[in-house]
Amino acid sequence: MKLKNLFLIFVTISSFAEEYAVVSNTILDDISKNQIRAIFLKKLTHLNGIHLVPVNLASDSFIRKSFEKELLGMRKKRLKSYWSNQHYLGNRPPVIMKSQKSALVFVKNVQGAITYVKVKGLDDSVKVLYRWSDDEKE
Amino acid sequence: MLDSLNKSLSKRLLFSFIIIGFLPFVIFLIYTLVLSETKIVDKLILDQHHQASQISKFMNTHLLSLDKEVAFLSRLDLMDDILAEDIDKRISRLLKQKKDDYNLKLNFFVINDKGQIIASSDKNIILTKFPLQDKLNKNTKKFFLDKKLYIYSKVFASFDKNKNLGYLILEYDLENLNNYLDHTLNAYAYIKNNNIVIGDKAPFDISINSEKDSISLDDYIVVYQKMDSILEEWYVFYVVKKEIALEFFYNFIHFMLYLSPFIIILTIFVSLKFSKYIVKPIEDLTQVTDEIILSKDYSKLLYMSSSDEVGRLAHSFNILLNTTDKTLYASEAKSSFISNMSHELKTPLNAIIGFSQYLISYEKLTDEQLDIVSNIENSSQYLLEMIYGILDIAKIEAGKLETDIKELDCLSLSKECFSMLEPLAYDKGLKFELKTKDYSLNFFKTDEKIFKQILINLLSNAIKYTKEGKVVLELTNTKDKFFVKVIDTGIGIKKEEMGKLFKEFTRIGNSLSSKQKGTGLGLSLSKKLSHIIDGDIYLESEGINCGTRANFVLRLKD
Amino acid sequence: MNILVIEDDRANAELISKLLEKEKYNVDVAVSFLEGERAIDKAFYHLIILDWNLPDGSGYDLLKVTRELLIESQVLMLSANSDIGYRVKALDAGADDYLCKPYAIVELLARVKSLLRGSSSNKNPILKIGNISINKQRKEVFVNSKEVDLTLAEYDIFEAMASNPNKTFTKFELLNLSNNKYASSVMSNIIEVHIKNIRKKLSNKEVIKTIRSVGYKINLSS
Repeated sequence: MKLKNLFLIFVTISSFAEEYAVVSNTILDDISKNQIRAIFLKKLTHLNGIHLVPVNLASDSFIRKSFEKELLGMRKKRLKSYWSNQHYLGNRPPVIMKSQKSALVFVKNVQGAITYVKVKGLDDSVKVLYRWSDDEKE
Repeated sequence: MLDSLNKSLSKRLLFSFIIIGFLPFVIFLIYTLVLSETKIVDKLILDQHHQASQISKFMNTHLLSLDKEVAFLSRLDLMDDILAEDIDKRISRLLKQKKDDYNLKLNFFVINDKGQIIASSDKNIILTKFPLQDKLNKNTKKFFLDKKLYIYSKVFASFDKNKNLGYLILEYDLENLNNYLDHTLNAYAYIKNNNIVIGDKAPFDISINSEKDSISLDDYIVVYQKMDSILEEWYVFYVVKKEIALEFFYNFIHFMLYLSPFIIILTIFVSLKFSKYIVKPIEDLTQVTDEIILSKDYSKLLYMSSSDEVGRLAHSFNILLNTTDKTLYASEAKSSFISNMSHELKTPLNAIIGFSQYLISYEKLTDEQLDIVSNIENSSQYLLEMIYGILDIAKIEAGKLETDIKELDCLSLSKECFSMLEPLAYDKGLKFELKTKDYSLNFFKTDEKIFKQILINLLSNAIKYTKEGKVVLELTNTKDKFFVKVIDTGIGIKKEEMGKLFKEFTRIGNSLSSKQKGTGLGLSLSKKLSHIIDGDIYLESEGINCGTRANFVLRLKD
Repeated sequence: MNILVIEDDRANAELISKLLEKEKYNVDVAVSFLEGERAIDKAFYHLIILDWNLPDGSGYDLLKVTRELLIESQVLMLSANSDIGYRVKALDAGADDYLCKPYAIVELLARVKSLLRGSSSNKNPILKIGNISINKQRKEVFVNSKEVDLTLAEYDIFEAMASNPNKTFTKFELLNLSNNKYASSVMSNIIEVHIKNIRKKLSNKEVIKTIRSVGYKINLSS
């Protein structure tokens, strides 16, 4: 882990693009990109008996947009119709936190919580599951 | 009192008027005082109950809406921020917003499952421990502590209905409910639970006996009801000062009472005036009639202006006066006529009798002439006697016969009469007795001439109408009557002829009487004379040949 | 004796004068106040019989005038009024006697005699008729010096008759004389009884003579 982190930090420092990461509560094991996608689409709700709680940031958040592009591969419109359909099946979209800060606290407090934040300012109270970077500035 | 009422028409009128004047007023006053107050109070109580119900309803509606709000807020997705420790302060902001919206003394806060206040409308208490954790035990409920009402609801994660995030609590200051309680000067509206009171408490204690009741005290009318719904442990009280509630009523009563002396005075005054006014004509009439009686001037007439009953009375009275005047005039005329006649009759008769006697005494007359002149003399004597009798009767009828009342020894008078007629009785062979059993009068006030005249008349009648046997003169007296009885064993009187006895010029007919002399005036005159001296004469007889009892009775005065 | 009768009723005036003349008096008659006054003025009368009611004045006033003139005649007032007040008034004014009308002539005569006797000395109380003597003063009657007990009524009757012997008295006159003010025709036969009793008591049936059914008189001749 430490090595990976160091690597990430290195990478972050050495590039001008924003580094984002998908983080989760420390209780969780590693999760693949696909799994992350599935979780955020609420196709995957449990892992190792732990109830998964995906947390979105505000809908106008740049990070979210980046996340959805990067990990979900779905555009807003498509996501909207997806969740519309899901609504009728009784699935609700993920919890929304207003800020990265609150999202992070949420993730720290809630077992099975996953969210995405800027890499900058992260500590080891949360587990990093995936990283990506985006050239597009906020 | 009743006696004086009976004696005075004007007092009766006055009394009647006063009663008529007072009665409605008094009845009205009594009704108002006694019944109205009760009715008004009852109505008041009804109103107050209604008021109390309204208060209760409004309060509960309000609190229910808050309750709903709490439930609503607790189910917001926003509550998930509890897990984020409300770092974004989204929840606090919302709670603050809500508090501001309500603009009441209340606070919302959210506590996490550890009892820490995560968010609140009051930023000062954030991150403090919620002190009343132990009171929270059900889903959506409430509890009261001091003057605060706590409405709370469990909060669950939006993503996991079983995950209890904590509680949303509304701390509501019950003082807010004052908005629903009247704060007026003379009414107390408050709610009470054991010793906790919200609102203006009445200055005295009220013991609660039932769920809904009213108490009417001297100064206040109290109404209380048990409340329901959220405030189900509470009672709402509505206390009204009687004085104010019944202000109009009391004012009215005071007005009536202030008015009453005036009404009393007015009624009495008007009654007096009226009763006097009505009675005045009668009094005037009485005054004039009194004058007439005193002056004996019956030619005076009454003047009456009104044509009502009193006027008609006066009119009738005048007719009566006129009649009396005429009668008296006639009577006066009769009297002077009588006395004139008396003189005019006696004078020539005196000459006739005188000359007849002269002829008999002084002139030499033949037997035949003697007979003739004797007849003249006899007839004239009868005539004279008749005239005396008629004149006496006329005087009596005109009320002009004068009596000379003295204290007399009637026994000796009776003896004189007795001895005067004794020879006559003896000559007829009759027993003639004077009895004085049960006679105890030494003196008796009466007129001597009349007494003797009556007695001689009765005695001579008795002797005249008795052929054989006896004539008894009996004197007796009781406590209040003096009896002079002449009892004979003569021819008696037929029952049918009793009525004719005292009629003038009537003699009871039988074979003997045609030979008897007499004017027929004797008994009639005697009876009339007896009345003048406060007595009477009545005859008793069992019938023909059963004798007669002549009763001459006189009243004994004390 | 001279008597003046002042009375306006002619019949009565004539009656009185005839009666008195028969009794051997001299009688003059005046029928009015004025006539009476003139008569009194002209001559002296031993007795004046004066009627109260005169056509031109009151006999009472004439009486007063007479007395004022100091005329000392006896005056007998006659009046229709039996009121005691009038009697007193008359006597106070100077009348010597007062007689109510109607009067029995026998009564009048007795009064006249009484008044005139006063001026004569003939006051003999004893009256004799045959063997009967009457003491008028003591009202006693004796037959042959033996006293006879007569009742008051009987005495009055007998004395009156004895005082006027040979004069026939009618029953009514005698009734009057027996002082019976209450005499009535009913009782006229009481006189018969009285006479009967007197005769019996005097043991003399002839002294009183029955005159038919008219009356009685005392016969002097017996």
